[in-house]
Amino acid sequence: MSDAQKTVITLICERAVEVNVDGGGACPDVPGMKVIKFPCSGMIQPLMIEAALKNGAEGVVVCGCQIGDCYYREGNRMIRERLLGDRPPTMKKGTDRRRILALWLARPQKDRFISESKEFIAKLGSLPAPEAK
Amino acid sequence: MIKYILSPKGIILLAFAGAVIAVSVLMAWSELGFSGTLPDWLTDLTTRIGLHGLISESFNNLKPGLGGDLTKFLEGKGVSVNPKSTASLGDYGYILFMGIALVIAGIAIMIIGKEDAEEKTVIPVKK
Amino acid sequence: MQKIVDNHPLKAFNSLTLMLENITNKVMTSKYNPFYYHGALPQYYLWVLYLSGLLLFAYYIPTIDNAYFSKNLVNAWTSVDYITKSLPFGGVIRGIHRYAGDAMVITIFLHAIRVWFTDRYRQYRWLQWVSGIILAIFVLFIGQTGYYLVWDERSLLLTRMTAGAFEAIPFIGSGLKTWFLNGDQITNLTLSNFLFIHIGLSFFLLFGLWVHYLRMTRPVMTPPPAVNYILTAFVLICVFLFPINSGQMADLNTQPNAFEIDWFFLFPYALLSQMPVGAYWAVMVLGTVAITALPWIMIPKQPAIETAEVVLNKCTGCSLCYKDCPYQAIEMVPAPAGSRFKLLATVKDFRCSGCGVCVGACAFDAIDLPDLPDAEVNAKIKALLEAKG
Ligand code: HEM
Ligand code: SF4
Ligand code: SF4
Repeated sequence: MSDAQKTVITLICERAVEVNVDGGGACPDVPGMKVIKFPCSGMIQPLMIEAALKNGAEGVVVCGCQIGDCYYREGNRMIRERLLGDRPPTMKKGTDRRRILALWLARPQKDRFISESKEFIAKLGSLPAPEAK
Repeated sequence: MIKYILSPKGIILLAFAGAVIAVSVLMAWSELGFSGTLPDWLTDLTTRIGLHGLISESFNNLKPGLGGDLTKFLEGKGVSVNPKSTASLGDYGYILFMGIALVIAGIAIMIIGKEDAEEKTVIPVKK
Repeated sequence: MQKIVDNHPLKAFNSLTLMLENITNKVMTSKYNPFYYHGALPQYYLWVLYLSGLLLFAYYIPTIDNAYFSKNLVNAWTSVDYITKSLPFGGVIRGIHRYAGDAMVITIFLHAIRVWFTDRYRQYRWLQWVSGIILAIFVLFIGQTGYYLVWDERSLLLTRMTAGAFEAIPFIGSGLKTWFLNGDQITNLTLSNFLFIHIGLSFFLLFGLWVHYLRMTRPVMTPPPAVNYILTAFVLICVFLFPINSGQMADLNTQPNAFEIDWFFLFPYALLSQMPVGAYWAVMVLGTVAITALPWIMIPKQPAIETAEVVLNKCTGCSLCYKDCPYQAIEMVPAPAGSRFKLLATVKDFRCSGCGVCVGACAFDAIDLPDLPDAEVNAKIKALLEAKG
């Protein structure tokens, strides 16, 4: 199982940290990362994260603006609370939470995004393969 | 209820409540310059435990020279005090130190509270 | 899909704000970044003003009468003098009231600039923008009446300038002047009117704020305590560094002609003293109209908002989207007859920002943004994962 075949899906707010994306949805700065942009991170459903993991994503990065700076006031707080299980709808019990990383980064923090997601991908490699469900 | 009050925790709580009330009354009294006549037993008690000395030594004793620089500064700014007034330049000094205390408190809280600001949320694994 | 994020006219200002906030975030983290509480800052100072004002109100006497001064009668000026000099902490509380007012003006300005620079002022937010400007005007006027109340020479001059400026307005001018002075000339009744305006309008602010907050779910109205401490300390230290004193008591028989100016509240008077009254009103009215119209004139062709749409036969009426929508744009209405459910979500298009938070809130895929339905997102996730390499 080579790492190159594994993909990490990033679900990101279009106003948060600036991430380069090529035509195919890949991020050239982070090998193995595919990006989908949303008007606001608050739009991301726990269902979407689960769908990504179920369809074979090695991990999911959720990214919104700095907490407190949501352009739509509270979207990033909402998805944060949903991920933590504090606000419905939450994720299913069986969802592998080790494979999800949430980042709250403002537009100029591109370097932080790249280093955090690379670190995350490296960590994912050492996790046991997801059990087939 | 009574059982709780008589438990060690309850007694400590009661002692604290009593202390808070006592200090609150003392504060109001100190505003009046610890004036008034006290019942004998209280005068007796306060002198016996040395509280009177304490009061006149530290509480209500504006030592000349202590706030000399502040006073000069304020007088330079044109704060004048009515000779008959009960208010004093001390009000301004008090407010300055309160301001400084608040800045320090604010910074201290921020330093401690900074810990749980997040740029990164790792979702705890549910068991 | 890329929307107005990168091509709105204030892009450069937006980047500047983000860069600045990036620095404050490094120092105090997002949790204490004052820019993230931009609306809460003036609100906090408003509470401080109410409290300190209450204490001043207890001792203030709204008359100008000093004919019987020798008989120890008091007027507005002497009551303020008494507060400042004789009352324990009176001078300090007066200072707090003054500088909290100035601080409120500064924070209102910062708040307005931030919502403008970061493009948070147009379209579905027009009500907040317009009500904000009305609030700001009232705050300025309340502060100015505060300066009349002191009844020193500056108050007299300001009162005369204001009365003159009102009188110069065609048609309603003399009526306005009579209302302002509570009569044809300055009398004891004038000051009771000023006090009424000062306090009455202060409470009117609460109504204005209600309108301001109407379309926002859970407005962020209180900064965290640590930030409040610093805000308070800022005022207290100003009170010490710049203690306030009244000028000479106003004397109706003299005409003072110069005064120290508080630039935060009294800048219109600086303008008024530099130009003819007609020009002054023209500048004021046109300036206000221009700022009020900003949400409509900045972008001639605003991209229409793609408002959320409810999928009628999927919505279970669970109200989650209604609770989470940040702009109060969803209303739960009784479900149509024959539905299995009691309620149905409906989107008020004129309030909807197209943010999609409701999509994230719905566990039944029952609400969608037309330009990015969740079915499409899921298909895209699948496609990205299948296109390996
Ligand atoms: C009395 C003074 C004011 C107070 C206390 C105040 C307070 C607030 C608060 C608490 C919010 C909510 C922020 C949030 O939770 O996202 C807000 C939003 C807003 N304010 Fe003000 N405001 C004042 C004056 C103004 C002024 C002068 C303007 C502009 C001319 C303005 C424009 C806005 C706008 C456009 C929003 C919406 C921002 C958004 O939707 O994210 N406000 N205000
Ligand atoms: S969250 Fe979905 S199902 Fe619930 S009321 Fe809103 S649209 Fe309907
Ligand atoms: S997209 Fe949904 S959550 Fe956002 S403002 Fe519109 S109705 Fe509310």
